[in-house]
Amino acid sequence: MDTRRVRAVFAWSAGAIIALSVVAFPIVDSHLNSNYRGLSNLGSRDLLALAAGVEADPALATTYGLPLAVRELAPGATLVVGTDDHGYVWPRFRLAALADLGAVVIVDGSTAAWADGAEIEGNVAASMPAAGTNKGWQLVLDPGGDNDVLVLIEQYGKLDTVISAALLPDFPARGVVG
Amino acid sequence: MMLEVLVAAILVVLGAPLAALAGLKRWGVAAFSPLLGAFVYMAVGAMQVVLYLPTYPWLTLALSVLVSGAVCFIARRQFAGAAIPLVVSAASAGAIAAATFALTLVKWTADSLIYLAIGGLLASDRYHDVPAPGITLERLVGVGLLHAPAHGGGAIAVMGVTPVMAASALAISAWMLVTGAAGRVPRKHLAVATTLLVAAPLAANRMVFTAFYINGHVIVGGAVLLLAGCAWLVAAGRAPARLLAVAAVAIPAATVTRPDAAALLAVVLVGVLAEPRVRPRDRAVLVATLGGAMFAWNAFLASTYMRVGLTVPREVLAQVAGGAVLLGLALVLLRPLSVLACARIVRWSVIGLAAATVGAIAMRPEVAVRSVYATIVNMAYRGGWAPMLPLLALAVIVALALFTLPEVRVLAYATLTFPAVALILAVVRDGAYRVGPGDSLNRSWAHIVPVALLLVTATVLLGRLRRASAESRDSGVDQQLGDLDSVEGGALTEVVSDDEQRKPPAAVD
Repeated sequence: MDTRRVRAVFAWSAGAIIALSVVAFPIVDSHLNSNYRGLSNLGSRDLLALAAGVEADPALATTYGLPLAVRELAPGATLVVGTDDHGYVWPRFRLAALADLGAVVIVDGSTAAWADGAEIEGNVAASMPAAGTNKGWQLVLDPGGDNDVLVLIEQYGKLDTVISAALLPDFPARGVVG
Repeated sequence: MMLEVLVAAILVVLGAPLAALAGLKRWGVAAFSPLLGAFVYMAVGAMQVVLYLPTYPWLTLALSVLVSGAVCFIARRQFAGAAIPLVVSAASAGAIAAATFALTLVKWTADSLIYLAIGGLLASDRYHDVPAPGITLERLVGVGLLHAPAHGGGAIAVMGVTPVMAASALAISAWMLVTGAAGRVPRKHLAVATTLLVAAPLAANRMVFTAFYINGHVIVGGAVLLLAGCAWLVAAGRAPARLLAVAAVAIPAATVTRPDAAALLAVVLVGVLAEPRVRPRDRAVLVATLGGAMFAWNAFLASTYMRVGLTVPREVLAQVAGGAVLLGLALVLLRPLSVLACARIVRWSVIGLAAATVGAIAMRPEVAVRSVYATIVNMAYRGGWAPMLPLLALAVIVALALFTLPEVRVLAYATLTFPAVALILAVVRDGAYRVGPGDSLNRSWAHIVPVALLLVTATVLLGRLRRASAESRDSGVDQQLGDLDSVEGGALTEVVSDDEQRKPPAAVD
């Protein structure tokens, strides 16, 4: 094989891959959810709106309402966390962070694998249907029930965010939601 | 907008003395300055945090100026010819920052808001009051430090800082290829290769996303590129050996940015340590910096847990101990290593990493299986990396199979060990990777893609076809191009002395 010829093949192939990537760029965007799109949907207006103290849309309002509600739990209150993203093995330190709230952590029995190393005091499975949904963001105050607050999260990343946000002493930070 | 432009220009000013100290000239100084400046600022800010000093951004800036000023005094005779490139660098960084702000070119997710909230706490010196160490453990302070100055201008994010760092990393990778290949191949070939190297990340959806994303991926990716790329140039005798010691400033910045960064840097450093042309003192500096950063940050974490009466997590204690061990190892590394010892480092580290990977799979097979499945699906279509990432992986394999170029060992080591490190981290964190663009590993590919691109480009551009190389070895013409096996087989045991290692090219542009 001739070295120059092999290099030329590599160069043309690289050029073709780059051209293909350019073509795929908007296609990739359209297949990802809005948060993870590329330059064609930057979402920056939302950030600016939040900075200006404007609740850009109901979904965002829920995003920030949830951490606040979680944080307002009195120490010792029962926090029920459920998700339909079954099977994710919950990192231990995230559950430990929940315990930092002073709340008792109860995890859906069907996802008991998450609870590795954390305190388990029950099974939330029975409570989940009562909330009426297990999709998306739901914050259900449950004064008549056994739980002070029921949080249903669609996917683990959002729960992570809610918990992290709830643990910051002054979240939202100055300016984030006014 | 003024604040954005000012921050970008300050990064260049902070980084320029370090670039000059590293022996870089003209456009090398221009390319490295923004990234090095950001790393200096973050390292200083992290020091304030771990020492429980006030965390006001103006104090971080003042201390950073002191550090850079001292370096500037030491390197004052090494700025020759750098004035115009530095003005161009500052103007470019300012223009990128201004455009980012004016066109609101920023990407953010819910995670970004946590980082920005941390930036707010740092800006108002309330970070040490956070009652929940989970935040400190998981989100660290690197990204928050970069965005804290925004609060001085009534904003919450310095939108331009991540794109400026990404542009600097792109310029650095182009500079590395040009420096490594100049005079060895026809100019036309080098121009084509450099164009492809720069165009590839610009065409990739996820790389563009990462460049504008408020998160720590550009920081960690920049650190890996800096360490592995500089080690390549030093190994090839194309850059001053002290470049590596200066690149060490990336280590504390990355260590306080992502929880997995220290592990990744440790593996990358193994490849760096195994380069015979790296000076013993630089090996010691690199390892001591990583050990010191791990020890200091995790000791701070431990103190945070103890302050609120919680049990310190085992992973934190393990990293405190690991940091102390690395500090001790740095002393050992002050002794020169023979070529044979360097080869053995690679061999045993690969065996160790393979054993750790097998052990991780055996410990948590379900995590491993789900992680591999999710990664394949993400690479194929769900993660947004197709077609670039799967084809880049193929290109790495084909390039290394067809060509031989021993000097890029460190780039190959960093690239090829990355998947194993990622799998081990999945088991350590006790959580499988998942399908979707927001998955941790899916975002973290940006840490290694710049190095992988540099590896493929350099290997194809400078390497020799393996068959041709074998034939020339048979004829006794090309003994110096033996690979690691031939080094071991030939029992080369000479020690590369400090004097020999001090023979970089006179000027590195």
